[in-house]
Amino acid sequence: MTESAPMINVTGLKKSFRQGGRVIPVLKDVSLSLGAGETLVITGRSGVGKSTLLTLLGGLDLPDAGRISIAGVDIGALTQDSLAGLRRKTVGIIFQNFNLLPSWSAVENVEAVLMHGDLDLSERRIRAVKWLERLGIGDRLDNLPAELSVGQQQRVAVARTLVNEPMLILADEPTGDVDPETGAEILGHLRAAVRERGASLLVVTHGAYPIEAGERVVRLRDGVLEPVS
Amino acid sequence: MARHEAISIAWREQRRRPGRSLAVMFGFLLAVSAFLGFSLLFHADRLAEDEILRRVGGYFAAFAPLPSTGVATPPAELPRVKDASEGFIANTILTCLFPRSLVTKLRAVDGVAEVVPVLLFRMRSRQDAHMFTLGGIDMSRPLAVERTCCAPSDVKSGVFLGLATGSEGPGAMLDDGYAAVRGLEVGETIDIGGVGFRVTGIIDTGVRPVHADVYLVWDDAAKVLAPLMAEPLGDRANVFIVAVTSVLEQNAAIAGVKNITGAVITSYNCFRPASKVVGLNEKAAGILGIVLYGVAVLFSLKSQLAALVERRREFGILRSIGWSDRDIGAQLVWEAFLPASIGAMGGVLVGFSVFVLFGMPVLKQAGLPWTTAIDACLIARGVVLALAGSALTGFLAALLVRRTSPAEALRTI
Repeated sequence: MTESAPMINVTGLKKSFRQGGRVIPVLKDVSLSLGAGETLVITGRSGVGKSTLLTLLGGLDLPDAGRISIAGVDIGALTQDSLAGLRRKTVGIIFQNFNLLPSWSAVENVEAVLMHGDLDLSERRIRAVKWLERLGIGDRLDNLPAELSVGQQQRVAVARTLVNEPMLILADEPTGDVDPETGAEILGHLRAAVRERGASLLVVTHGAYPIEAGERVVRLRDGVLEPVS
Repeated sequence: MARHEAISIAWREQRRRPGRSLAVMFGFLLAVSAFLGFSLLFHADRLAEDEILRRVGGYFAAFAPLPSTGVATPPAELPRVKDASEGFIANTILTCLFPRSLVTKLRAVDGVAEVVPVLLFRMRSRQDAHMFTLGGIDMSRPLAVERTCCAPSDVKSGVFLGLATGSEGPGAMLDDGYAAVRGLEVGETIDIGGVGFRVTGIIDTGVRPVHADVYLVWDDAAKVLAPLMAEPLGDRANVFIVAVTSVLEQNAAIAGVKNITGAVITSYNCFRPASKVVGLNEKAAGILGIVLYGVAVLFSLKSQLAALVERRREFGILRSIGWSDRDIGAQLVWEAFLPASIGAMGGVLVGFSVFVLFGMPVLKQAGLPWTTAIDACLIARGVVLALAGSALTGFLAALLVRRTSPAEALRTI
């Protein structure tokens, strides 16, 4: 990444889906930019394409048109293996439905991100345990996701994203299914990553989100982003 | 990612679907045990048969038929007899003569254990004009004689040719059929070519390729034949009987003898059908092994494909957190490898047990140590085939995972 390059730079992004022979345009013309150490909150009603946008930004799907650049790299030009490397090293994604591996314990779910990195086994375990303890579930390390509450599962998902200290965090409804107290706690950890490490945070949410000073908010409506007054 | 971690994850996946994993393990167990069990068993069987055949040895008779052109091909020579109704014969065919000195050359042929010259002469009785076959045998080399012509164990009464003691010399030995027709018994005297011989033994030679009615030692036979020839018999024989070191060398020995003499060979090749049957068994075992391997690999593939459908979302999750297609592929190969390895190891044990139960007694009977049948390459081949088959299914599964986009996989419920 060059000094001046934003963490995310999106121009003219388009994405549509086919359903029963009909083409449903979801993203019609999305452009956005997010610098290092910045936070961008994208709001919008359910089904407007927020999660789709996040999926495209994470390189998990291909846009119909437009260009996405992450840390100065055009991800449209990357191979699947390079995209995997980008997600492993630079981008951390928190999914709305957590996406935990059902047969892996909490600590293994967190460690899974580090498995193909440079850390050895013990270092990985120490780091995974540290993050789970920091998120308040150090006593549930060996529990399977099904044995955890929704809030605890969300914490595991957050720990899995933050354990690799990514420079870009994409969070889909990070507080959607948890109580306000847990939500605040999770947001605290995400904001700490922005504050302390200069990471960029992009949050998509359909609900109320406690905006802090310095955080930008835009709304996704009819496939385009519009500013929120 | 450390190998033991990959194995640990693979093991967890086996435990997640125990029924399917057990089916795959059992499939490979069956394939490897059948392949190994049958292979070791047939290998042991073949070793035992080879050993028995090696000990049994082979034999044949060589002679040159009298040419219709009237010109013999050297080293065969035309015999000149006084009475056209008499002559040298083999298997009822009139034959040429060979220099007896060829014996030295023939003994040097690969696979030849012994060569004995024989005179077989169809002659007329000087008393009542009946026809009979006279056999003159060099008894100094009994090995070939016993296998091809007559043996002491054939004696029905009296003693074997050359073993009689007394002033009347070695005497004559009669075929039991001839003795019965002529009403002769041991101790009586028989006229052969005007010379009287005491009957010293009567034998039943069975189906040996060289057969006579009356057997004399070489020198006696030569003396009887001398006045019947229009020229000196000299040091010549019309049949060579050949003992082979092992029936496995039979063909090589026949070819070598034929090359020197140009002779016709008569032999009783009972080893040939036996060898063919052994080969067929091995082929059948090979085909069965391949079929079972195919079934095991299909089992494994089916299991992998079912797991792919069930775990589609999980693969999406792994890709979303930075696992590359190669990482997932390697994991899938481990997951296919694990039940195949366990099944293959079990198959080695079962296959070896089959060999212990059925193969070892066969080897023991043949007097061979059981270790002779243990072929490390064979065992390795069985295991490697199983692992290669499973790796192939893992690889195919990995290719299918690669074809699905992560976002699409994550949308799977």
